[in-house]
Formats: sequence, C-alpha cells, structure tokens
Amino acid sequence: MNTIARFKHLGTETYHVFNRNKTSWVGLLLLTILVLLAVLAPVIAPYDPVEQHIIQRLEPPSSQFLLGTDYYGRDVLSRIIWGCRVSFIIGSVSVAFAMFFGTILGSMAGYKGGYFDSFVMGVMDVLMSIPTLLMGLLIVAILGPSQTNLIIALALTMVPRFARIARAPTIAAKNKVYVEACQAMGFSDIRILVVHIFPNILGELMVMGSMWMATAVRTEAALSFIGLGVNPPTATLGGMIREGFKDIMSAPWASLYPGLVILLIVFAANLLGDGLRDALDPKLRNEK
Amino acid sequence: MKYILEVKNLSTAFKLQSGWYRATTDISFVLKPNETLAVVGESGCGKSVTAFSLMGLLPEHGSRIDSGSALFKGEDLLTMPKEKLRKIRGSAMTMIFQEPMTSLNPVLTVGSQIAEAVFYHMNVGKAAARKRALELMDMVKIPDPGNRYNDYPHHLSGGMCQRIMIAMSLACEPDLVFADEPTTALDVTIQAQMIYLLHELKEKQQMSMVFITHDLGVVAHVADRVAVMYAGNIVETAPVADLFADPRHPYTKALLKSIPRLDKDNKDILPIQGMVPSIDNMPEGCRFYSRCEKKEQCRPDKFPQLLPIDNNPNHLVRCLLCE
Repeated sequence: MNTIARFKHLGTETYHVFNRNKTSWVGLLLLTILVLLAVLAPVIAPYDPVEQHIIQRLEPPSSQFLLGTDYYGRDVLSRIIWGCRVSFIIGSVSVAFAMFFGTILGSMAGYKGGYFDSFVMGVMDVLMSIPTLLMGLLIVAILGPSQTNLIIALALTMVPRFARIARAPTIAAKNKVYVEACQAMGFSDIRILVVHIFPNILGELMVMGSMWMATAVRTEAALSFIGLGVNPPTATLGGMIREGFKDIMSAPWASLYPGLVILLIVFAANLLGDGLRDALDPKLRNEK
Repeated sequence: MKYILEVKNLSTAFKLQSGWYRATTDISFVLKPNETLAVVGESGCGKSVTAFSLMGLLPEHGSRIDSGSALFKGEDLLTMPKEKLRKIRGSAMTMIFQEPMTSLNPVLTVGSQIAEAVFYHMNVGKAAARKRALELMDMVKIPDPGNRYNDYPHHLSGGMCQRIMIAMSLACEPDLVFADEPTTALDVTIQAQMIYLLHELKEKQQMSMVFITHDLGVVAHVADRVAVMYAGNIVETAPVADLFADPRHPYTKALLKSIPRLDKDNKDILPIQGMVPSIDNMPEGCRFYSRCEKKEQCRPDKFPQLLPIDNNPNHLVRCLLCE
C-alpha cells in the first residue's frame, strides 16, 4: 500500500519479498535486456531493418544473418530488434495513457460516489464489455492503421480496466480515518485525492501496469498479424509473423523468432507483475 | 464577542432503512473564548455526531441537519457556503481524532503532514512551513524534531502520533478545537500526558475546546464546564465543580456512582440498569425514564425541557422531577 515509503526504502521489506521470489528477477532481467535491445536498436542491429538482400532471400540462420533472412531478403534479427522498439513504444505509451486517464476517472468516481460514480463506471463497463482485440479492430478500421491509431485503440480499451483498479482502493482509502482527518483539516478534494490517496493506490496501479503492458504488446502483435497494425515496411513483431507465415514450412525462422520474442516479452512482463504484486501486497507479504 | 460558539436547537438525522431518524435532538450550548466544554456520554449518545455536524463532516449521503443554528464567531456554520466552511476548517476550527495511528496518512512523513497544514492554510512557502512544523513538533514535546520529521507514522508510537495530530490541528492557531475522545486509544499513562499537554497548549494559545469523552475522570482535569448527553439530548450542563458536587439529573448521578475509585473499596459501584433506547424506537417522553431510579415519582409521557435549576442560569437540567 504505502508505495512511496517502500520505494524510498527499497532495501527493506519490498525488496526482500521481491527478492525471495527469484522468478521475478528473471522477469526484470529479461525485460531489461529486451528494453535495452529496443532502445539501442540503431547501434546494435547488424543491418538496416528494411534493407533488402535480394539474392539472399529466405536464407537460413548463418554467421552472416544470425537469425536468417525473410522473403524480401531482410535480416530477421535486425527486424526483431527494431520490432521490439515499436512494440515497447506502443505498449508503454498506451499503458501510460490508459493509466493516466483511467486513474483520474476511477479515483474521482470512487471518491465522489453517488450518481457520478454510477455514470462513469457504467460507461466504463460498456467499454469493457467489448473485447480488447475487437475494440482495437474497430478503432483501427475507422481511423486507419498507424502507430498513433494503434496506441489510441489500445489505450481506449485499457482505460476502463485502470479505472476499475483505481476505483476500488480509492473507496477503501476514502473510508480511512486519515482521509476524514484531511477533510477536518479543510483540504480540498483534489488535494486529498492527489496528495493523500494517490500514493496509497500507486502500488496496485504499478502491478496492473506491468500486466497490461504484456496484453498491449500481444494485442498489437495480433492486430499487426491481421494487417491492421503499423504499416509495412516498418518492422513489427506481429507483422513479421504474418509476412513469414506463407513460407513457414520452408523458412520457419522468419516467423518463429519474432513469435518467440513476443512470448518472451509477455512472459517477462507477467513475471515482473507477479513479483511486484507479491512485494506490494501487505497481505501476501505476511503469509510468506 | 461574548461567545466563540453558540449552538441552538441543533438536530441531526440519519437515514436508516425505514426512514430518517434523529441522532441528536435540540442540542444547545455556548462556548466562551478560552473555555473548555467537556461533552460526556456513553457510546452512541450523539457526542461525535454533534461535533461532526458543526464541522460539516457528516457523510453527504444518508445524513442531514434538520434544524438549528451554530454561530461561530458570529457566522452560522450550518448555512454558510461549503467552500467557506472548508477554509475555516483546519485553520480557525480544527478537530483531533480518536485513533492517532490511523488518523495519519501511512505513506507520508509525519513532518510533511504537519507542514502541509501550515502550507495550505497560512500562505507561506514550503521552507517556512517546514520550519513552523518543526516548531510545532517541539511545542508538542516531541524529542529531536529534526530527525522525527522524516519518520513515517508506523515508526512512531500511538502517543507520538497523537502529539503529531495535536501539532497538525494547532498549526494555524485555531480559535476552536474539537477533541473527539483524543485519549481513548492510548495507554493510561499517556492519556494523562496528553490531557495535560492539551490543557497547557489551550492556555498558551488562548483557544476554546470542546472535549468529547466518555471518561468522567478526564473531565475533572480539563473542563471548565460539562454537558452530559444521553440518547441524543443534553440532559445536564453545569460548571465542572457544580456538576461533581451537586449533580441533579438522575443519569448524571448514576454515572458518577458508577465510577470505580482507588481510595474506596468500591462495593457501592452501581451500574445503570437497562439499555439506551435505540434510535428508531425513541420514547415520546423522557428518554431516561425506563432506566431512572425515581420513575415511580415521574410520568413517562411528557418530554422534559432543558431548564435552569435553582434559578442558576449556568446549571441546566432536563428532568421533570427537577422542574
């Protein structure tokens, strides 16, 4: 619950619980490596991701092309590294947007209660009743496939989830004596929400953030796979699977490796989320 | 200005499943500058509800103020705009809560919570607020304020947390403090320290205090006047010496008889028989009738008024037998 306190003393309880669960370190390590790859893409990638080596099409992995080449003779490794970059940008920006707006809506609804709460959460429920992928499809179909539209689509589907996550602990915090004490001190509602309640719900939001990051990456890949993602020739993991799919029997590396990387990202983000949840949840902490 | 707070006929109602019921009825009292009024009564008699009504802290849904006025320095707290009341709250009129450990935000340092109150109400910079917070911590006798400033509430004991709460509520030198059972959650030794600290600070800062408690022993130490509440009414109010020397209402008498004492063998402790009537089943007449030891001489159907006794305007009693 008291995130700031715990993050300030990262050497204490949180760290220990996080540390006890070795798998969460695996998650953190994997994710860090993948993020570093993505950030350093221009330096690390051996080739330009759109450069075509026309003579060496569908080349199997070799010392020249570590993970082989695709149908157009582009280096699979370089495209994976650049694809990670797109995935992480889309994943983190959409989660950040969803977290921002979802938290505002959810915590205000929880704090105010009454008709405002019913209205906001009703709208959120309607949004949530549409599956993520379908909603993504719908918005991309309307606005056209592009990185920005994909981010909008993903953020929109995740806003209600974050609103729900923010609302419940806000209601719990609202009934705590210290919020009453804040009201007795004459603080404005906005101040109470931002200064006093928000740090108390940050833990839950962080956990959800890392979990939904995985979902966002996966959904982006799925949309790219069906051709509604970022426009080619930009390298995206989902797009690579699609392009390699027609040659999957003869040249499986073109779609297999990007698939594996998606798996790794989702796996790492989930491990990290699990570790964070255990570390930030006082109930789980006492059980262990 | 004769009175800092003048409450007249305050009635607060709550919504239950079967309708609206009054938790307090016709509460009237006055408070002079630099005076301490102790409000005494058992759990559920409406002590805290009265304080919360005056502070404007009742829950928005399911409660309402039916009638009455409450003049705070000449302005009616019950009818003024919410924003104005909010600005008064925390600066000119503050409240100390019952449970110090839960009244502080667990994720913020105690020093910053005091500084926030100063910063918010006094129009000063962050550095000045911090300095004032340290002064306040020193004033409530927290040893080594410089180091304690950065502690979180879970680092401190209940008594220390209550000192922080007191520092917060006195940060802007209020004219009126509601202390809602500030010692109930603390050890007996700490209780005494807290009571003397509050009393001392009250004298120093020249403020008025409404001290809510169910402990008559505490009352004798802090109060100038006492209001005894029973089932949502004030049944007796008197200067503290008069109340202990010459209690008139049967409930007050019974309360005083039920306090155990160290210097006696306590064979004559008399618990009050019966139960408080529940909020949705209040009798029409005297609310203490069913438990009153003199009920044979009285009648159950008439509701008594709060009237001066022996022509003393400072000693008021709500009892048919005393009229």
